[in-house]
Amino acid sequence: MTATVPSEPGDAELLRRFRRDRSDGIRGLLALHGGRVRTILQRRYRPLLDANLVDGALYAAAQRALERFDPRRSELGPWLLFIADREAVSLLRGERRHRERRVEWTEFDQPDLHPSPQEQAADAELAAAVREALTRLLTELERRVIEADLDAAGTASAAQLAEAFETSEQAIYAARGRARAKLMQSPVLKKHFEGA
Amino acid sequence: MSSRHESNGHHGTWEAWSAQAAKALKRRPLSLAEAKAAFAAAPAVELEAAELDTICQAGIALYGETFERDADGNAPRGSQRHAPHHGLLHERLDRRELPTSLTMFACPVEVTEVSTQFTPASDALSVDPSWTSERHFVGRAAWQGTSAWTPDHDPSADTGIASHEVDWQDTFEAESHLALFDLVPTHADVMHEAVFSQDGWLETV
Repeated sequence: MTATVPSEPGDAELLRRFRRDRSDGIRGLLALHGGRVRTILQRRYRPLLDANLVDGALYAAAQRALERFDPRRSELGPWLLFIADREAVSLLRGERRHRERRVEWTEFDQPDLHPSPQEQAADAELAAAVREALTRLLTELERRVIEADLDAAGTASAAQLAEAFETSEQAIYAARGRARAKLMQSPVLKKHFEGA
Repeated sequence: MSSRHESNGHHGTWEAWSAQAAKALKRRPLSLAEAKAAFAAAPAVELEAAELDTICQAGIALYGETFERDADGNAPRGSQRHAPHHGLLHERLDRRELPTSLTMFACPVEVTEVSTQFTPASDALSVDPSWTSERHFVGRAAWQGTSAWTPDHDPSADTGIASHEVDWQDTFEAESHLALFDLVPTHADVMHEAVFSQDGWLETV
């Protein structure tokens, strides 16, 4: 099979630099693409993640991007963003000290090949009900916690949110508890919850 | 998070619900295709040396000096390339980006000789005719499932695969095919393929 390789010539040189000297390769990749990826990450994850965490995610992603670069799938720049985005979400979930428990991304990377009309309708129903609940049922803090959980595709770290929202972890847990109880007032959301 | 903080004790269900809702709202981590689009749409930003230092220091402060090593404390992949890693990313195949025609995945023997452990289910996607091609390649696990495999022919870490007439570009498709047939490669397989991919690619540029 002949496949088009999207990688740019500079990508190979960066990979060679990385193999010769890991730190040099990482700095080279960050110098070339880090600024753009950092800007995108900050737009997506501030203030949920502070600047240090965004930078930490970017650094870790640079290493992993070079380790696992697949030149058939992408140029290095977008590849770095792809991995850095996942690093950021792992940090949002408070997983930096538990790398062995990192998020399994399969559910994001392997969407249904052919979602049925019923599945599409169920997604649309759920999305509409969540939007409705976020705008009508929840207080400001409750909404921000639930939205952070959605961004984390699970449960965002209470410690992380407490810092981002300048409150206590207990306040985050309490807000989450109240919000979830309110969400279950929606018959549609309750149905999806019971089926989850 | 400790479950004692959960008001309803359904942490796992909430995790699943949240992931499902995020998917429905398209509020989820970027797919590779989305990352490409976002990257292309964003303006280039040049980092100053001090900013580079800040990023590197933040990474080391966050993950520690040893974060380059895997969970078992093995050396970085540059010196021990096939140690399975936790949290692999690249093998999370994005099925949306697979080629429409999966024209590879074969082995030196007919597919009928592949161990049933690795034979695709009959109700899976229809098998491409090139499945039985003699030129193509399978993942390590599937290769070991064939009658052609012997320990002497077991692809070694760095040279075994290359000794076969294999287009390096095929390896991803092999992986993809394995995944599509729910023949999930092991971490070792995937790392092997990934290293081979990079090596093969570097030889071509």
